[in-house]
Amino acid sequence: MAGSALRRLMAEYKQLTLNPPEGIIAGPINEENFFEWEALITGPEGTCFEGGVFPAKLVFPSDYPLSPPKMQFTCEMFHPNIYADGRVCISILHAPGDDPMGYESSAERWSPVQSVEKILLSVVSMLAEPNDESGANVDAAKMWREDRAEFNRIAERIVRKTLGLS
Amino acid sequence: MARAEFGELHELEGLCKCGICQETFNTPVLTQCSHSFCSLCIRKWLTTKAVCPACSSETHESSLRKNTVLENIIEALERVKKNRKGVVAARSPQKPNARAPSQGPSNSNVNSSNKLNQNLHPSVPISAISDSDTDDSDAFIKTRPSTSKISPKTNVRSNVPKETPPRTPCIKPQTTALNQSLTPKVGASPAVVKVACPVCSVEMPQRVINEHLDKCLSGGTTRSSVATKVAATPTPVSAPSPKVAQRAPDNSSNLPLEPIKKMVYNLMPDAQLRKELKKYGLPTQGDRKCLAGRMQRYVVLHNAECDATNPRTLEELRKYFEKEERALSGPSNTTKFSSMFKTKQPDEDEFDKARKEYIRQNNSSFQNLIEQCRNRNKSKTKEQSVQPVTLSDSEDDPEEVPVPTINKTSKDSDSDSPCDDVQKTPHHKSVQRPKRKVLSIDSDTEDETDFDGRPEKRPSLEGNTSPVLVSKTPVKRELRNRVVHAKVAEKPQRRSLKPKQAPKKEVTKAVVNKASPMKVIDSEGSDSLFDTPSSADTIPCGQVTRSQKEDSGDDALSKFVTLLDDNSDSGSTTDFEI
Repeated sequence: MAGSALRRLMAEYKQLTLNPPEGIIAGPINEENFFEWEALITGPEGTCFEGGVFPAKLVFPSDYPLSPPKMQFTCEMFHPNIYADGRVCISILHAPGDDPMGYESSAERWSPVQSVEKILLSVVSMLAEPNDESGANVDAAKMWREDRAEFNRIAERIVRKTLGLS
Repeated sequence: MARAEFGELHELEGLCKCGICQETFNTPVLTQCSHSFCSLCIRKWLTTKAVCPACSSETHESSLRKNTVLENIIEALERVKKNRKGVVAARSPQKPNARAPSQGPSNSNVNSSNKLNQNLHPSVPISAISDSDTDDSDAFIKTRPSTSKISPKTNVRSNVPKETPPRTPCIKPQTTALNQSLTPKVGASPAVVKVACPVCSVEMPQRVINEHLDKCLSGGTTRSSVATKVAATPTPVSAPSPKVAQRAPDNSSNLPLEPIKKMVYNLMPDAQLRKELKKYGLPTQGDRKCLAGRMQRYVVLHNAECDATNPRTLEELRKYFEKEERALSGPSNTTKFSSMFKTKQPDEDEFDKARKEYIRQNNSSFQNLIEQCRNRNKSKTKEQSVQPVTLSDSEDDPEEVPVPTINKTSKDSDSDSPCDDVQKTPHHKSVQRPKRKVLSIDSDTEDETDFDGRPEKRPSLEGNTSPVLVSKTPVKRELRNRVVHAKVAEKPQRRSLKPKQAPKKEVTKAVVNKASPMKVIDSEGSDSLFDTPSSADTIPCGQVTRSQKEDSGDDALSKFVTLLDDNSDSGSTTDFEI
C-alpha cells in the first residue's frame, strides 16, 4: 500500500513538474520523503490576495490516495476557511466518512481520483471566493461579511508579508 | 520532440489512465456508473467507502465487471507506443549507429545508443516494427540490428537467425524486461552505485534511476508489461500461459482463481479467520484486528487477480502479498525510497572527520592502553636483563613448566624442527623484525652464531607470558634477586664465549640503565628467532608460540609503545639492575 502510495505520489510529482498549473508549484520537500510536500500558491488575480505567494505544507497518509492529505499554510493567513494555525478547511480534503461541518455533499469530498493539483486549484479558488458559511476562522468570516474593507487591508498586509516587503 | 509529434497518442494515453493510481489501467473493470478503474485500485477503495470515486454514486464490489474492450485497447496502444518510440529513438541516435553498426557493445557510442533505445522501449517486444519503420530510412533499418530494437524480439522468439556474434553480449542479458535498460550500463562501468527502483525493486545504477522511474511509472508494473508481452506475440497462446497451466496441477488445488466470497469479519470467530488465512498460505499470527485486516487485504488482491487475463498463481500471489505486507509493516514508507540516495559513497572528509572524532572520544582508553603497555615493557626489560640466571634455573628441571604448554598449544612444534616452527609463526616474525630494526647495533649474523640461544630464550619467555606475575609472586621475586647476582657472573662468561658480542652487550646494558629498555628485548628477540635446533629446543619453541598467542593482541601496541619510548626518553628503568 505504501508502495502504491509512493508510486502515485511520484506520478503526481512528475505530472506537476511537466505540466505545472498556473500559479502553483508543488513537490516533495525532500526527495527522501515523498509523503511531505511543500506547495507555493500565488494569490489569484483580482482578489485581495493578488500578488501574494503563500507557502503551504502537504502531508500525505501512507494509504494515499484512499485517504486525503492534510494541508497547512506555513505563513500567516487570514481567511474564513483557514484556521488560525494555517490548516485548510476545504471539502476536497475531507475524507468521505467525516463531515465536520455537516453540510458537505459526498461529491465534493475526497476521493482517490482527486489529486494534489486539484486540491491546490481548489485552494486557489477558495482564496478567491471564501465560503463564509463554514467558519474555520470565525473572525475572518465575520469580517469578510461585514467589513470587507478591513478584510482587504489585512489581506494586503499578509500579501506584503509573504513577499518580505514588511 | 516525441511529445509534440505524437500529441494524439499522448491524449489517448492520458485517457487510458486509472484515476486512482494514475497509471495505465491494469486489468480494468467497469462500475455500474460506467467508470473504469484498475481492478485492484477500485476494490481497495471500495473497502473504504462503497461509492464510485469519480461520481460518488453507490458502488459495490459485486457490481464490478471486467472491461475487456478497454484492456484490448490498452494493449494495442502499448504496441503503437513502442513502435513510435522506436522510431524516435532510432532517429535521434542515428549517427552513432550508422557509424558503428559492426562495432561490439564495448564501444561507448553504440553503448549509449543502445541504452537510449532500451530505456525507451524496454519491456514490450515490437512485433510491428517493420510496417511502421521501413518508410523511415534505409540507414535506420540497416543499423538497427545493433540497437536494442531487435533484442526485445528475442525475448519472445528465442533466437533471431540474423543475429551476429558481436551483438550477442548486448542481447544476452536482456532476459528480464525491466533489467534491459540497466544491463548495458552495468557492463560498461561495473563500479556504479546501484540503487533499487522504489516501484519495481529492480536494482540499477543510480544514473539511470530517473529515466527508469519515468518508464516504470508510465509503463506500469512488471506484471502489466509481461501481460502486454504476451498479448503482443503473434499467437495468443504464448510463453507465459502454458507455463501457468503447467504449474497449475502441482501447485494447488484451486488454480483457476476463484473469487473469494465476501466474509463478515466481525462475525467470524478467530479460529475461522485463521483457517481462512491458512487456506491461502498466509501468516496467522497477530490479534483479531490484524488477522481481519490481513484477510481483507488479501481478498481484495485475490479477487482483483481473478479479473486478470493471465492471473498469477496462488503461490505468486501469496509472495506478492507478503511483500506488500512487509512494506506496510515496515518502519516507514520512506525508508525504501531513501535507500536510493543513501547508497552513495560518503566523502573522504566525512570519513576523516569520523575517524578523528572517534580517536578523540576514545583518547583516554588509548592512553590507558599505551600506559599499560609501557608498564609491561618495563617489567619485560627487568626480566630480560635477568635472563642468564633464569636459564640456569630452568635448566635444572626442564620438564617442569614447558611440557604441558607444548601439549596444550603448539601441535606443530612437536613434529617440526623448532627453527622452522619459529619461522612459521607469523606473529613471531612480525614482532621480531621491527625490533631488530630498532637495534641497529646488532648484526643478524652475530645473533645467529652467538651463544646457543636456547637458554637465552627461556627468560624472555617468562617475561613475555606474565610480566605482572613475575613481579608479584614471591617465588619470582626471589628468582629475580638470584638473577641479579648471577648476571654479574654471567657477563664475563659470555664475553669469553664470543668476544665480539661482549662489547655490544655492554652497550645495551648501559643503555638499559639509562633510557631505552627495549633494546635489550631486541637482542633477545633476535636470539630466539635464530634458535639452533636441538632435541631440547622443542620446549622453548612451544613456549614461544604460546607466549606469542597470549601477547598477540598487544603486539601492535607494544611495538607502537616501543617506538614511543624510543622517541621520548622515558628515563625510568629497573631498579635492581646495576
